[in-house]
Amino acid sequence: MPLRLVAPEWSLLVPPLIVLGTIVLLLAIDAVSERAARKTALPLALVGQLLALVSLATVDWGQGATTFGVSYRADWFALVVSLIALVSGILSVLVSAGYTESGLEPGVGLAEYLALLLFSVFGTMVVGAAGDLIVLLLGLEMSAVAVYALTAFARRRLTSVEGALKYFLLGAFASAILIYGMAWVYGLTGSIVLSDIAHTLRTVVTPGQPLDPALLLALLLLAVGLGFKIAAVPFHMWTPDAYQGAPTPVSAYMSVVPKVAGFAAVARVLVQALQPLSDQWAGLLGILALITMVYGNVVAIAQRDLKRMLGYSAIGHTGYMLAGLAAFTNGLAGDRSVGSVLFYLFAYAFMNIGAFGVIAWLQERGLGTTLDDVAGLAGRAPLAALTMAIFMLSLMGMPPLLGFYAKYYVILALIEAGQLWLAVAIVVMSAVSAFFYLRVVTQMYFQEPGGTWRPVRTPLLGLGLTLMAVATLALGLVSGPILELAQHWPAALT
Amino acid sequence: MSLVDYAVIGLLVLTSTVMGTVLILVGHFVRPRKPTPAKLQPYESGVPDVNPPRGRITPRFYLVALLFVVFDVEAIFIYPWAVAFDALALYGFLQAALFVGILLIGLLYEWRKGALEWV
Repeated sequence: MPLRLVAPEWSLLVPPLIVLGTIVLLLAIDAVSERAARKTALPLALVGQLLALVSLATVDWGQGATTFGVSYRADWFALVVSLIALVSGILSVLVSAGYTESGLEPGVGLAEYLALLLFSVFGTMVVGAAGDLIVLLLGLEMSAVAVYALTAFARRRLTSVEGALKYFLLGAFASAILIYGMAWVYGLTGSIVLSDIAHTLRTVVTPGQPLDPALLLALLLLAVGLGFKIAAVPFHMWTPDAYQGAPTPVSAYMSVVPKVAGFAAVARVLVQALQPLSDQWAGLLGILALITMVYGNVVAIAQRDLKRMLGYSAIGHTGYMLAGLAAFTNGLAGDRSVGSVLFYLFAYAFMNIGAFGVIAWLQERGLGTTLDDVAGLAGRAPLAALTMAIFMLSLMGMPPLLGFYAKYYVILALIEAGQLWLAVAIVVMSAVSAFFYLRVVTQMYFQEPGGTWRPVRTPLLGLGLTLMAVATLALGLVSGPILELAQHWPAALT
Repeated sequence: MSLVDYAVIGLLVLTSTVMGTVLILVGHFVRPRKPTPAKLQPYESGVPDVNPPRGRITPRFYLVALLFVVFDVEAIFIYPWAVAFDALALYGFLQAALFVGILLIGLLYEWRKGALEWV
């Protein structure tokens, strides 16, 4: 029998391949000359991701074309996930600019740091474009494993190692549960291809009937595994320690991109593959969303450390996004659920990386990460204080900032799906969150400064913060095109 | 998709569990108990212990093991290509070359970073 290698459709793979090429180039330069790597790594990582971002325009995403069999799908969903991952990646590299100059420990390479960061971006793009469970899992793990290593980058600081270890052990455990769930799905449907699983399930599941217990077990295992990845309560235990312990630019990155990968996986697995079970999982996600947003926002009130506070606030935002997914109603035309979550992730990238970025900016100037350290910031650095205030107000959901529109679309999706109780919960929890977000603002504007202030220049970090502040201010008003892009998902996920 | 198809595996698991438990319990209750220090050794008829088994192992082994696993797994990908070398023709060769090229960069990287040195 003659063998024939089927060539993959290379043109569909251009954006992720550019990111991968950048990683290989980074490591190759570092291997040849560490001195050259120190000079070129940061611009290279930026240019590589920018090129990948531009190259998104070269692919025809509307076709939903597949390659590597059906394992890789270049559809609208993949486009939006790649877009968010690359934008977050670029912003994270900008935010890392100060840390990588002064904060890295001896013997730890800048190229390594950036290569790991890009590996995680690449993994997230793969999750977005996954057409079967194996590719999805590979992407998810690539996105997470790189961040485990990044969390431990301040390797002489005990909290950094502690955070990384907790993140790693729980993440590995969650992956095992996830894989077990996938094995059950494969055993029950005989396929790992997402669209085939949906097809098979549609013939077996009758709405209104109780589920086959084996199928229910598979669904629960998947939900638990994915819940860990997106830090939903009660699977959130690693989050605060990892966010607080990691170097601040890493916290900025890990609060967004692995979460994008997690939500992309949730959408691919639950919305696409397990769509016939949507009655069951939408209810489950609704309950998870409620306890996640309540827990995250209430516990954040008690935090004095800003990074830890943002960690709990990130849990709260996971709750809002899960609520968006819970609004999924099978077969309803004009369903906004997944689109609203994609838009939320897009908005969240700017404001959350921005908030961590300001903390990184303060650390460059010799300050710590507690509430006392931002006291009187408005007097010392009015622009930085204003930027931080914008991010805080946006995270809170103040109109007309980007965060408000994100919440607005989720609430709209919930109301259209008739899930009023979750919409009310989001509004109430936003009011609760005002307490700890506004406390940062009052600290900055109405308190006397303390601590030592060391003026330094951080142009790239400043540029990144400016970009994010402007985006947070303005993108909400021109959110139409992005939202429209995000609303193409039903074509991609069926 | 029916669970009945898995009944055979379930039966196997059940049989092996029951059998193992029963055999160990029977041994436990039936055998005479006359312990001597030599009998309490982990390997009853082996060489006496030199040091406790829970000694610490240097993390260098971890690095070596990691590198070994990485390159060993990658060899698995090369084998099928090598077997079907002539059938896969030039295109297959180029793909394998790309793969080996990336591997080479990895080898170069770990070499230059000192991972191959026994510090």
